[in-house]
Amino acid sequence: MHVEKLTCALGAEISGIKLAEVGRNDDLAGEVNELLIKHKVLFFREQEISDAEHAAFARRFGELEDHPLASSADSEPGIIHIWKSPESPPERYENSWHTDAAWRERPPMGAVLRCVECPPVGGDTMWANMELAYEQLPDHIKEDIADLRARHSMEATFMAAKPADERLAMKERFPDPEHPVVRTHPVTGRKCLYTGGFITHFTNYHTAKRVRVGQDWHPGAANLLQYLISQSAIPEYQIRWRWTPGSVAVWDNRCTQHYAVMDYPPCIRRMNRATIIGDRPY
Amino acid sequence: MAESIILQERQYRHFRVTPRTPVIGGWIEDFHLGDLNDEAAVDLREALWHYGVLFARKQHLSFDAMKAVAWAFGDQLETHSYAPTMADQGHPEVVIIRKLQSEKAKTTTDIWHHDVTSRKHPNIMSILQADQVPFGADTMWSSMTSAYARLPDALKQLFLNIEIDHDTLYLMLRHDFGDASMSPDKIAALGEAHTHPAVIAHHATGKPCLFVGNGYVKRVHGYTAELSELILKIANEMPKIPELQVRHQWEAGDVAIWDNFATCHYGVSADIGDQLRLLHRVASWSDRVTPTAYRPDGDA
Repeated sequence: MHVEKLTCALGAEISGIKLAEVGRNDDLAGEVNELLIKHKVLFFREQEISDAEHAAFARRFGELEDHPLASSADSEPGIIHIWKSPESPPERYENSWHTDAAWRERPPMGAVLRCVECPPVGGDTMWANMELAYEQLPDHIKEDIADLRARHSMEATFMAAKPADERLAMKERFPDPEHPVVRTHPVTGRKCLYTGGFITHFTNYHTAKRVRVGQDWHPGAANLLQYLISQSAIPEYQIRWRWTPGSVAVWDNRCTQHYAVMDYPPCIRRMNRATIIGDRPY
Repeated sequence: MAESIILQERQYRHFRVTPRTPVIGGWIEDFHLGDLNDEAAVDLREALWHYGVLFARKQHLSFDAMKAVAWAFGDQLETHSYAPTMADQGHPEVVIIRKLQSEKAKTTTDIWHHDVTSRKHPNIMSILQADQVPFGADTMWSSMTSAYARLPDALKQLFLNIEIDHDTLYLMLRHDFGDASMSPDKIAALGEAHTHPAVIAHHATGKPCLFVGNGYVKRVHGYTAELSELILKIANEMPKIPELQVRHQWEAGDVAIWDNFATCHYGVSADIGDQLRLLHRVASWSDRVTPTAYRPDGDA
């Protein structure tokens, strides 16, 4: 197995390894798990694997979950399709900096994304290291956000364009959870900035310490939220990955955000994702 | 309005260009820029206007060859106001971009900017060649042609109707740049300041480009500081959009050539320890090329 670091911030390309084999081999799976914790996102090229092998590899990290809106592979529970073509509705959910399914009480710990088909150029994916983003914050901001919590919402994002009854029914199924703005990694204990595109507002900002007059709250809270959200746009924290059919990315969804660059329409881009169940952020 | 163009591979007479993203950036293939003749220069111009930024591997160009590339785009080579150059080797037009992490020098390149917008005639292009490039210190470019095209109509109207005051002094004031040899007083004495439209018609293609940047910007011309800052904030969000960007990981001998009007760029800072980072840059301009306001059809 050969490991090549791809940027100073995060990401490593692993070669000389077959993911189908990792799915069957405890030792290899342990090594890949350690590399994932270390590099936060791992890349593999030329992995010709079936949906079943894809799912088996992903299950080395935990059980899988489906997505309430995305279509799934018929034969393999846990493998969802993120397929775009000229006929796809003009939805734009992936090209926002986000951590997957932060709208769940227990967002996924990670995901395994495999490129089935992609345009010859375009459709890259970017990741940002949110531990680094937290570390580099000025001390006074760290102090200010230490106890802050925020609401995340599927209703306000994926469901916004749907009729009100469907939207509210989905909100019943997935009530908007509240998560800490600074999250602690359950394995490493390191802190990261836990914001992302599903966030709607801070839930406990309006305290006497922070709000002297109305404008400290509005726009004050929104200004701080915007500042925190904009941290993922800092190039020093990012990696940009160019796909080829058969390449695979595995990421730690607890301490990274990602962004699928939507520059390829009207081309076809077909990605299969296995999403690994995670725990409640703290 | 502006239709989006998806970059494709293009075959020119002496070289081929393959796109790096559908929006910005192309690799020059099968060509050594040291072999630039008049015909190739015509094609190189055409390619640069099309791709915004061009990259070529394994070039290792001489300073004369770099200057020859720059001459293909402008009739004057830049002499930089404060950066170190290769003047002692007879190349005052070659700017040295040299950084030792241990020097703790403040960089001004980790902001999205166009070069020298404080001048009446900003650079048309630059050619940058890597000599020693430690891992991590990448450079990114962002398409300001696409930035304008992506603006909602109401914001297009806003930017079409304002001008931006650019001033080298503000590069220092806003970004805490400088040292003993480059004090605010010395920079102020240069008097490098100019007002340009916020949306320009590209001098070669006529296409609209958002031309604000976050380097030399002082103020939206004639606006109060409060309003000006809000408007600049909108403009400065645009280059951050990943769809407009290309990111280059340097290898020694790599060359990047960029259109300084249609793109802005960002030097990614990295923890490079005690390694030396060394690149050389030549830029060209012309007193016939100055940013002029874009006027949409039917608006005249």
